[in-house]
Amino acid sequence: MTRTAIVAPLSAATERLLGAAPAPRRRKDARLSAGALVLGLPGMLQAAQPGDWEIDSAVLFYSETDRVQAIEPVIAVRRYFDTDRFLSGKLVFDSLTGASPNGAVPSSLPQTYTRASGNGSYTVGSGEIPLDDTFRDTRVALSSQWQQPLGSSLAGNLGFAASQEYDYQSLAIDGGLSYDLARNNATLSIGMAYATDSIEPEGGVPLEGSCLFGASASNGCTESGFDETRRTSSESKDTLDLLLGYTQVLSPSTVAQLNLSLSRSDGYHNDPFKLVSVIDTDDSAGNGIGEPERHLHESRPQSRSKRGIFARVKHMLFDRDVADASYRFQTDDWGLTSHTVDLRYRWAPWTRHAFTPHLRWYSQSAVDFYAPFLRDDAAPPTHFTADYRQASFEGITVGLEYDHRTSSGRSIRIALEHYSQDGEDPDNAPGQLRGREIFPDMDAFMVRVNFDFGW
Amino acid sequence: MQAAGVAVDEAAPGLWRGSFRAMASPGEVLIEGGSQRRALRTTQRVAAEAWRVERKWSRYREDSIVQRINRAQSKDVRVDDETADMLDYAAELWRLSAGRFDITAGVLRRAWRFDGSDRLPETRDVAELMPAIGWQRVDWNRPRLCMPAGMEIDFGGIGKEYAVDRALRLARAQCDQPLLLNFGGDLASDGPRIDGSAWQIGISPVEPEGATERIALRQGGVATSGDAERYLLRDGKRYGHVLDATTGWPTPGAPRAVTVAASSCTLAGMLATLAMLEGDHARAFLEAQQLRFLIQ
Repeated sequence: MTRTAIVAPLSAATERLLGAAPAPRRRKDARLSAGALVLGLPGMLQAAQPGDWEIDSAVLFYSETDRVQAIEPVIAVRRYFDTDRFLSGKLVFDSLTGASPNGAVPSSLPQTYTRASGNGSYTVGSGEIPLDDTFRDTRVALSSQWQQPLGSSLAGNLGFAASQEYDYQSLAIDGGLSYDLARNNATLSIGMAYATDSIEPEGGVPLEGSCLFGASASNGCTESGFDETRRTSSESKDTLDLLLGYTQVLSPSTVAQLNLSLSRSDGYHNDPFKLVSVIDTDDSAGNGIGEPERHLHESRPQSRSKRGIFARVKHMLFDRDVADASYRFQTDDWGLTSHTVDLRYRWAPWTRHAFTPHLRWYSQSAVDFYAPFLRDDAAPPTHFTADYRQASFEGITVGLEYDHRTSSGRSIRIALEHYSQDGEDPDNAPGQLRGREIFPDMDAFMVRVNFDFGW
Repeated sequence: MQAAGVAVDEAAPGLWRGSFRAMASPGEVLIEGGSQRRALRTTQRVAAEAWRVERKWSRYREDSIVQRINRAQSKDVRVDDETADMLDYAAELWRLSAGRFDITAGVLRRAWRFDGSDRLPETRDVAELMPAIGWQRVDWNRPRLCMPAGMEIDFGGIGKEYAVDRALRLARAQCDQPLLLNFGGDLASDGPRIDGSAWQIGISPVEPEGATERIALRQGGVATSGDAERYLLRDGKRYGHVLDATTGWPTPGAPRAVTVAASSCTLAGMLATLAMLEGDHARAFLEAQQLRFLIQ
């Protein structure tokens, strides 16, 4: 026998026998596996412990400067029946308070708005972006998911979700199949979800393009009573989502994922609380050029089709850290195209402590029918919205998460994030609107505390 | 806490020790942290895999694939994927060891009985068995194997280490805590302890008065070839149980025991065995591999 190093060929043969060595065991969410990454959420990367309960609790505090504040406690429970079969449930409470832009433009005069319910009004100061300060809601969402293997390399999952707000209800079912191939080094998955949402705003659903109640006939409004601005008492929307995913382990320390998604929704897409201002272009109302003459309820199409592609690479470095980069492209038949780049680096210098800086850049183009305002010298188009979420803007999120694993395997995570959103104000705004902030730029802070435990 | 064939006790605060028996050895699973119930489930998974590998390639079970091959009487036998992977591996070991390691060498047990006595086999007894040994006589054409009548294969030299590596990966799906598996001195772990430190593995001395050596293992496997109980002694000369398939005899000057640390238990075990087959040159052989080792 040769005395030179046979460790290389022998080691290669041993790897062929055993399969490539898995990535060294670190903490649970640092471990790379094709199946786990498909599930996507850090809380779902936990190892299966049949018969055990896993509980992940979290509280999220969210605050937009001068606007919406939210507190969101979440509790997720998972019960394993054996290694691969589990039932999970999640309960979320959302408590939102604060003010949200209603879509109308600022005026040099104080403005009064009838509340969407028809009961009462709120007033906005001169030059300010009109905010609906009655924004206050509590949401309860419950979801449940069953997952189990269907043979040696096929797994199926079935889920149900429901959420209830004061005036909004959503019910959804989803199902998926995932198939492991190439000795579990790759996973192919398909998923489908169907949701039906219904909205029943207090006071009824506003008629698209109707005037906000309270404007006079001299402003071009025909409705004389509140009920004339309302169409029906409730509306609904159905959404079908399809997902095709492929995950490939490229090396013991690198895994890549590619998802394609299609989504189609039909029904009511408006936000009944959003308005669009019609501005005076010739001072015909006598308040000055650029002043809002009347406010119309927005009007969006009855259907929307989206297509998206998502790519992600996770790579483990120094047997310790994880770099995670993803890119999402989405486009739809409303003309909105968005790009999201998300970068995270999990730095774990000590066994039980890790820091994850996070940077996300988001950019979208406006929908074709986005109009920050309408002009009174032209007939309103069929569809229009001034909702800033349909406008062109960029958002940047910068965050840091700290996570600590106790010796008993429990974990606590604390995340701080700052989000800033920046859109462009139209440069053709006439009169008093010229130079005013019309697109509501925004800063938001978020603090999230997670505590995972199990028994 | 106990279940069929396995038990779990607390070896030290926060350190669970699962135990069972498989492959004629004690099996042990050390699990740091987590609950005792979780430790029991992990041990059950490890034991189940050890028992599966043991059953699958058993020389004693009529229905095992090894028995079917050994009883085929020169007929073709089609084997499953896992057995085929094992045969490929055995063929590679045979090639790399220039025929000294050979899974057809098990028939030598008819001449050799390692009971600590001085009863060496007759040269003639060994020589008579030699025609039934030699992988080169086997027609292995994955997934079909055709072996001359009278020959036998035996995965005994690889199976235990293979089971350790396999069981470790399966246990990992059940348990997220630091884990160390030990099947009668063949060990593997896929990561350090909770505080980041390595597992400290004590290597028992072959002589009662010898000192216990330590090997630190963070990730990978440790295996020992050579056995304090399995030898023959005549005229002050020790004959160990690792036999050279080309001669039918132990390599002269082989160490009492060789312990190797490598990226997997299987690799460590094979290198330890190949080192034993090097006899006097075991140390030089191991040094050339640039791995941590211990020679006794």
